[in-house]
Amino acid sequence: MPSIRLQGSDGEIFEVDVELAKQSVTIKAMLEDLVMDDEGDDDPIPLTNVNVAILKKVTQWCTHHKDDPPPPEDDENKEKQTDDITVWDQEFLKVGQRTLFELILAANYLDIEGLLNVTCKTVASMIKEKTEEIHKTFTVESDFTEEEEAQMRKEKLV
Amino acid sequence: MERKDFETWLDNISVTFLSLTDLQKNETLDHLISLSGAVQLRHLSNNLETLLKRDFLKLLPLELSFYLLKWLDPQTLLTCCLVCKQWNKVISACTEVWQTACKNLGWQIDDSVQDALHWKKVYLKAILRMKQLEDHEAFETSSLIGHSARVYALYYRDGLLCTGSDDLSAKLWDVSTGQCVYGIQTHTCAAVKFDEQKLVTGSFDNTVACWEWSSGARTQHFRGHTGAVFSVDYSDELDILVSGSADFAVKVWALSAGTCLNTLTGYTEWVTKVVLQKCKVKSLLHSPGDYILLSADKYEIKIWPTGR
Repeated sequence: MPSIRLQGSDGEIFEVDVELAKQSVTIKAMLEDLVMDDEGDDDPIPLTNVNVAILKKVTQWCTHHKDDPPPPEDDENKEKQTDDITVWDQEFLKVGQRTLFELILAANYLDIEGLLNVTCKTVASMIKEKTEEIHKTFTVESDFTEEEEAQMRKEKLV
Repeated sequence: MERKDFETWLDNISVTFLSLTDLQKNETLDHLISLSGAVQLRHLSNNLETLLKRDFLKLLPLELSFYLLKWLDPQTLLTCCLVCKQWNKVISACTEVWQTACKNLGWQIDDSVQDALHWKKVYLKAILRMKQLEDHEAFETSSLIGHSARVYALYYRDGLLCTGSDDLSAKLWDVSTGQCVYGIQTHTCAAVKFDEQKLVTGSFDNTVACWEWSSGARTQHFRGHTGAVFSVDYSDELDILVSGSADFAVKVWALSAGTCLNTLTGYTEWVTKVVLQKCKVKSLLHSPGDYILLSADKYEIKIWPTGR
């Protein structure tokens, strides 16, 4: 199995199977550009926005999902669900919140739709489950005054 | 420790750490800090703030935050607006999410309006209205007292309601105050339509009449139907008046001349509604801007091109 080398933001090199790497639309496009240019194919592909630790997690996800069918066309009118995350993905994403957000950023940068969707869904389901505790879960402080909040509640009234 | 072994070790303790209770996690942190030297403490102190930030709305670029918000239902989003000012700002700026919320309620989305706050307000108003309907609080009733017999005809325009009655009169009411502001003597009214200058009435006496508000005088009398006239409509632009009757026919009249231009038949029941409409869509028979005449009896709606 041919592999390519990726260079993370921290300078470290990470080797990964080409087919797996192509799940990332960004890397796939970079590879297609490199093939056109014969020189320097042995240079690692620089990924300035992802560190190697996250890259490894991403690879782990891509390995498990390598035989997934392409995601269905986005039906704008259907309500998006967050409760259809597979058990494997749920376990995989039982990581610290920091890592979760870094995975979102990495999935976006590398353009891996499946990973982006499942990570966003996970955060969304965290918000849904713990709406009462959002301040605690996401360490956000409320800066509304009592009057402001009362006014807003009035608007939201249902 | 070798890099590979280190990583394996880190993965293992991560799994264990996540399985601890909050109390145990705190104890672990305390313990680790107590084991730490000056280098670790300095590292901790320098990075603590960034390490602690988990507010995804601050950490993620706007477009990613919006992408994430799309997975939340409107109710949750409204709750999130109360979290803090920044969250409120971001959530209230996500046009797509509020447009979708309105769309799912059955609203027609006008894509030219991209202001997120507009769609959020539309959504909130719609939800409120739906709740009022459920709670039977959506309508206010008020009674307009003044007629002395059955009121059969109604027409509303610009805050004024015109009522036509069997008591041979038509009255104009200010809807907001409930007061009668004008009235004229007519015939029995089965249908009314008015504008600033005139009132047109369709009557149970089989005729249609046109009245001048200022003098109360009848300016036109359209005779020809052999049954009660249930519906009238007119257009000053085309100078036509149309009437639908219990005699199973629709008549088209010259509004200012009073003459009958055409009688449309083919109805099998009383014609209860006629409408002169300027069309907005293109079809095989007409183009935007053309006038069409719609008419309904018990079983069918007929559409007639007006040919002008």
